[in-house]
Amino acid sequence: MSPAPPFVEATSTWVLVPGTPILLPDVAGASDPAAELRSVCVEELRNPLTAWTARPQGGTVGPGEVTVLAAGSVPRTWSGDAPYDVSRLLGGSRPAGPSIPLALAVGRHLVRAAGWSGPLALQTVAGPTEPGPAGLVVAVGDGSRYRSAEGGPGAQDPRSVAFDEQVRRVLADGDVAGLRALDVELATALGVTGRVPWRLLADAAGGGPVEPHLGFAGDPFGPYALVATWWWR
Amino acid sequence: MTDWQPGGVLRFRDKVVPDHRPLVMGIVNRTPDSFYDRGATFAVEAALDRVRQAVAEGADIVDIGGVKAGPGAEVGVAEEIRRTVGLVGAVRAQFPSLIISVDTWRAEVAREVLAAGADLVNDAWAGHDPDLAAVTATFDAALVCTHSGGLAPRTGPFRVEYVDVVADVRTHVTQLAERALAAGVAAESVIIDPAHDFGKNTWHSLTVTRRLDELVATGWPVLVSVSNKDFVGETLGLPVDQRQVGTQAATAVCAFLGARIHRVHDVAAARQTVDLVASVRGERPPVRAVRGLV
Repeated sequence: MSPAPPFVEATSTWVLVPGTPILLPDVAGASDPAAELRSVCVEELRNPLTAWTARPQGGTVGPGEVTVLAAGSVPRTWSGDAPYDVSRLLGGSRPAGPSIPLALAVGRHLVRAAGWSGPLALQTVAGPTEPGPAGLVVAVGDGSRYRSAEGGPGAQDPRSVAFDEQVRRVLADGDVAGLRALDVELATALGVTGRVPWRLLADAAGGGPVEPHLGFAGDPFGPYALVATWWWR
Repeated sequence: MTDWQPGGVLRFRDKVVPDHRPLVMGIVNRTPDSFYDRGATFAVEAALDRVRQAVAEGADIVDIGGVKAGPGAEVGVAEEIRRTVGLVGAVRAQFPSLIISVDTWRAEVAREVLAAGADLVNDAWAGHDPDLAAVTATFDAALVCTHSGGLAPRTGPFRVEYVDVVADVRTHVTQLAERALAAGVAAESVIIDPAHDFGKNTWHSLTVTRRLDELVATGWPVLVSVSNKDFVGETLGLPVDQRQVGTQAATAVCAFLGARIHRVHDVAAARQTVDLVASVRGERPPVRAVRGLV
């Protein structure tokens, strides 16, 4: 269920989505196991994006621009239509062409699938000292990737479940201080790709309060996936 | 590369394979938790039975491993040595001319198993231990140079991307092969392995399979390990215990494209697949061609 309006009144809206590559079409093969998660993401994005379309133009944010943001090793921006060559994931018979970071490709796909055809800004962020973007931000990131004993990218880390539950709670409660206070070292050890984007969100939200909405929290494919929205005036 | 001829002699210490004949390597896991056999051959007598079975079914090589390849419980050097050295010694005593491979990335383990009579170090983790090649050379043993996609041992791929996975494999395994030569491993004792599923998703592993001829073209003998792997399972939508037919299909493709060594669980099935494909390639006469010729 999409978070309730009125987003038109929002100064800022951040929608958090997972960076799971199988959210991209055809990557998971014929069976499309991520269809349900994709649907949840699209639903979460729909109302904020619709409201963003209806906003009066002008102000400090680019006209009607939506920002897709994800962690990267260096802070960088790309134009909204910069390509992602999916043969980086699928293989092929010739080298892949220039590509934006995978997480941005996932975020962009979800934004377009939710009906946004307007301008996009794509950016990677490397650390919490950078000022985050204003306006409507789609932040791509996940919780721990070492939750399970089998099939994951590394040995199970028993700290994962408690950490991810803490993230779920602070996002569901709109707990800005709690989000800012997440243990950086632990998040890094647990492979949490949401660490920097969520820190930027906490900084952007300042002293709060925020209106929170939690659309999804779970590990259908291993890494902890969160779909949520925070908005504030 | 040296003036050693590609596709020709392969030497494993004192054991020489003189022709193009593809080799079948039977997997013997001395682990309680490997993905396929889950501890079935952990006890030393069970492991020896497995070796006897593999040899009876036509294995040219047995590959003894003491540590599960995937993530899981930590196995230290001492425990890995305990699991492998005694078995290597027992196999060497019972099968004097069998090629014995040990699946380890650790130089300390390699030293002990080579001293106990092993012929081949099957390093699945791309030279993670910088001393492994030199230790292998000290015993004039053979070495497998494997692509791992940059992963540390016993980790799996996380959203891994390649500009060109086959080019990446080719670059890294040939670098490892050159490093092995520089460390003193004999040219006729160096083998390369693209390592299906190691640091690669299913699509990457399928691409490596489809383009295996590019790795064969490097001139180094190619070892493939496709048996019951997840790329077979994901391609067909089948769990780990139902991948036998898919494994033979993947084996056949690799064999047709020129793979030299096939590391497998089911030796008997692989032997038939590999032999048939060798005949298709015109490199092996049928056992008995009489029909239509009498």
